[in-house]
Amino acid sequence: MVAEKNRSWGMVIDTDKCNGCSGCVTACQVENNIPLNDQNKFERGRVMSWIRIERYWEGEFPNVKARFIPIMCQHCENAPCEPVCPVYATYHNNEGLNVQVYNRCVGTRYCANGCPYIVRMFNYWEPTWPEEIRNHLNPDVTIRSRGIMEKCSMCMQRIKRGERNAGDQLQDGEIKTACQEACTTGAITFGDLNDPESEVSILAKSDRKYSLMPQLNTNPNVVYLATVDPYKDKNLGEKAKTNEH
Amino acid sequence: MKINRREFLSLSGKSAAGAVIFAACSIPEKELIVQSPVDMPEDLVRGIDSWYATSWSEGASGDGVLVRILEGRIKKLKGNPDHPVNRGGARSNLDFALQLHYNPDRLHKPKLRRSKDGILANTSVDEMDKYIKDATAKGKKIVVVTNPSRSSEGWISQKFAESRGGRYLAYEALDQTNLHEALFELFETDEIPHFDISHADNVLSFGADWIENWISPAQYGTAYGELRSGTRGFFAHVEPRFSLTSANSDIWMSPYPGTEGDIALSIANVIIKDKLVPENQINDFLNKLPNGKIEFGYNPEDVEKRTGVAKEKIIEVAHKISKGKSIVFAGGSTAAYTNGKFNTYAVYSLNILLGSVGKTGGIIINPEVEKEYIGGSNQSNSLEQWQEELAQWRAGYVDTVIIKGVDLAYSMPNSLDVLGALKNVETVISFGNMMNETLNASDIVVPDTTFFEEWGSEIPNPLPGYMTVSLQQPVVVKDGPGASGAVSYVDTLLNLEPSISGSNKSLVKKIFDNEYTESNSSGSVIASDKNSFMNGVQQRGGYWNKSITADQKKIRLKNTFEFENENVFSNSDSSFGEEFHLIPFTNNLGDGKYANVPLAQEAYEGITTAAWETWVEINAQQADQMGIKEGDIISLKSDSGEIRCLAYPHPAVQPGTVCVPTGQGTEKGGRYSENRGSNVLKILSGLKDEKSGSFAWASTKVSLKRAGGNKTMPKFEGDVTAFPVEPGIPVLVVKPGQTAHEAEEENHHKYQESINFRESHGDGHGHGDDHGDDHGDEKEKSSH
Repeated sequence: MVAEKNRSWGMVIDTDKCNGCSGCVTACQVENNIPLNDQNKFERGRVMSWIRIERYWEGEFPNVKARFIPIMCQHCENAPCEPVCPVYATYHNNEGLNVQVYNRCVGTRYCANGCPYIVRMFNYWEPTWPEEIRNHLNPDVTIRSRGIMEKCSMCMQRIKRGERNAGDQLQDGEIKTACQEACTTGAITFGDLNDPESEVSILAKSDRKYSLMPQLNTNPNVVYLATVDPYKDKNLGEKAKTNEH
Repeated sequence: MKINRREFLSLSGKSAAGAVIFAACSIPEKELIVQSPVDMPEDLVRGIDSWYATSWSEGASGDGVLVRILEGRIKKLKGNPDHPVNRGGARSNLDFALQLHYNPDRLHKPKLRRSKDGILANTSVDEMDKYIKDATAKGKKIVVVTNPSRSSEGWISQKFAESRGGRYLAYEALDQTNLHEALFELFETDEIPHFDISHADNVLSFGADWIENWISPAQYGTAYGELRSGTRGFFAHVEPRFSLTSANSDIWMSPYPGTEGDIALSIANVIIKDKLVPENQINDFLNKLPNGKIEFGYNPEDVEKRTGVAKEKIIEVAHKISKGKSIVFAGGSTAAYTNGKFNTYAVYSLNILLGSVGKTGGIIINPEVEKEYIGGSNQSNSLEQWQEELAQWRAGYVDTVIIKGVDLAYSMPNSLDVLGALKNVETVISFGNMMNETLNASDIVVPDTTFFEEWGSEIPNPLPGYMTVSLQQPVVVKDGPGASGAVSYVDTLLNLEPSISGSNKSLVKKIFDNEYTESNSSGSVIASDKNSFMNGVQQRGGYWNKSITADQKKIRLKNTFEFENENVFSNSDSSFGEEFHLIPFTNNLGDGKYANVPLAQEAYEGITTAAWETWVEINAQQADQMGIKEGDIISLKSDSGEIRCLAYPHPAVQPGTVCVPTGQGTEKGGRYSENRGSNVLKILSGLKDEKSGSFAWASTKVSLKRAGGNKTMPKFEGDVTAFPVEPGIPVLVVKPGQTAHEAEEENHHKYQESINFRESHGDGHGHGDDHGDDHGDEKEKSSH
């Protein structure tokens, strides 16, 4: 049986503070030993990235706007990826995380088909690094081999290290994910959603909170805060043509 | 076992029925929760790691960083929350430094060219030392070149050049002389001020892409997060290019290149005319003008015609920044036209009108910090000075040039013919981590250390409003994995000049010993003796003292401004003609420094999401009219040369302007950079602002033609299918005070209306049209 824990790790992402710098993407890549995305992967649409910044256009020149949103595994409470795995390689652990067991995964990719957020990445190639670059690989994180699925673990290695170091005295904010740490503007907050006094819990109750695809009832552990735009639906000096298709 | 068809069907039916019954029996929920019977590696691996505080000299802004070391190897970097410059913030490119250090193309052995016509070949350290000693002997005319920084390294560079009666020069590809000149003339300071964005209510910036990479992005990024926290600050930006800074502004104004100064003066015009600020501030401002007034022609209507920016935006911004604490600053392309000084000057003068100088939430003038053993320069020499210097080299008046940390041969425009100049220098000695075009043109190549292996000390640029000295300390050994053979630049120069005794380490120790003496038990480290003080400095990553500031009341303002507009782009409405304004911009690869770092190559640019290539951003409508499609190979030709790059039709570029990233196209680099993309810096015209001598790197005009052929654009955009959602989601946008739920309801209502509209007009599109190609009268357009 699963040992009971009262934690539910989650994240709040304030899209109003996300400036699209992609520092989180690079930090995640280094922390989690994500293989190099060479030009070929970009051209073939096979970029491996546990967190990505999506950029959406709005309006037309000169009143054009770009919106940014970081997307990673949403660690859904009702995760569509979990029941479809024939080998239980993905399951929900007792800390609210959707976990991927690499040595169970047989690469059916059913989970990727089931994931509406498209955050599960399949290793089409054996990951390789030149010997020199291997020096900076993180020994806390397994290198995934060809043929298996991987995705954001919410830096489980940092959670484990933090829990071990702190024992029963784990404080809110003590564990930081790599993306959170790299986010200069403080758009990402990580913590225990079961702790009503944690920063992440307080932010998750904001008036600006929303989830991705709530209609699917996946109940994600990643909560977004809406972007604020004082000029929403307003164009100052309407010189732009309307978007007539 | 053989099963016939009948038995198979029977078994299948029973299995299905069994499965239904089994499911209906409702297995206790916990039994469905399956825990891995084996611990994952993440549960098991536990090394003992160490974190060291140091500063990042590669970025020149002196950010404090923490470095994670495990088993003698560097594993991770993060911003130092204790450091006053970046306060825990990290540049988006911070981790690139890992692969500058651990790189398969890193130099491990010195190289030597025995004659000018010979080839570069590996040599021993002893032979290299002998050649360097001969080339730098007393009597030799020596020039030392580094990137701009005020540091212990800068000090030794200057001292060494002086010891040989030579010169020290600083170089950066996208020169900012106009910024420094304008600041000096307005505020009589050589220091870039501290822009107190964190405490401002309103920010107005011009040209400077401060959110992505301008001067001190970690500092400004942290401040941006604070600006948007609590009572959300307002932010407007003026730039022809749609940079990340443009993308994050509340109001973006895209002027014809070179007309930014007109917008600043038009904003001033509105503020004065509508009396939006106290009269004494208006008088302060007007008294500095040549005729005591803003000349005719800066009203928003006229300026709209000249700049292409809607007058409504100018008026709105003027009204916004007149309320509360406001800050206005400029840099980047605004300062890089042939009228860049005028633009910069006009922009910074707005702070006087707004009463923002020396105030919280405004421009805080930084103290002039001078320290023994810290030298160099916080600004590069101007193009004019470089032209004079290269003429000296070309004429054979210089015996030896020592170059450290800059790639002159890659980043100077063709018109300067730096390679020709280097050929006429007797000995060129270059320090570098990996081969580049300058190293390739040198006579002695020295494998340089990285900042992870070296002692150092630096005055950050800009300071956080008070005195700060950052410490750089070695976090791994020089002969460690991946880095053996590196030679210290500072120690090499120290060994060559006996009058400057000691080592790099002792030099840094002296700097902080002096700080201990001057600290009077105040500041970030309080200790009873010098060694304890040094320990404290090593723990915190530097020493800073909040009580050492510039006296904001003694800021002297120049008596009169020179508001003579010498706008060379007055004909800039030739936007659909053959000539385009070329605006180069730096992103992840910098000025080519990170081109051989795979992490940097694959870090896609924020707006286009392009990587691994050189692309040209051209207005999408204009591209359409010219029949240009994404990935078309485009030839850009200027009076200084021609390059080829891939077309990226961009919805947010000023028509008539094209923007190209720097960093690619090196002819001599490593496996990740060589012969990849094109070098836009090469085709920049050698134009300068005649008032300052500053390089007008945003003033080049190019012709644009399809060169034939089309390639797949390596970009992230389109890698993931767009979400099948209605407008406004997933990036939900709310008005101030509106809840997410209200916005969702509003979006849903609009979407339903658009569906009804389409159905009543016979449009076949229905629900779930997720491609963003048509949302009726909505403007949502999704690109993923």
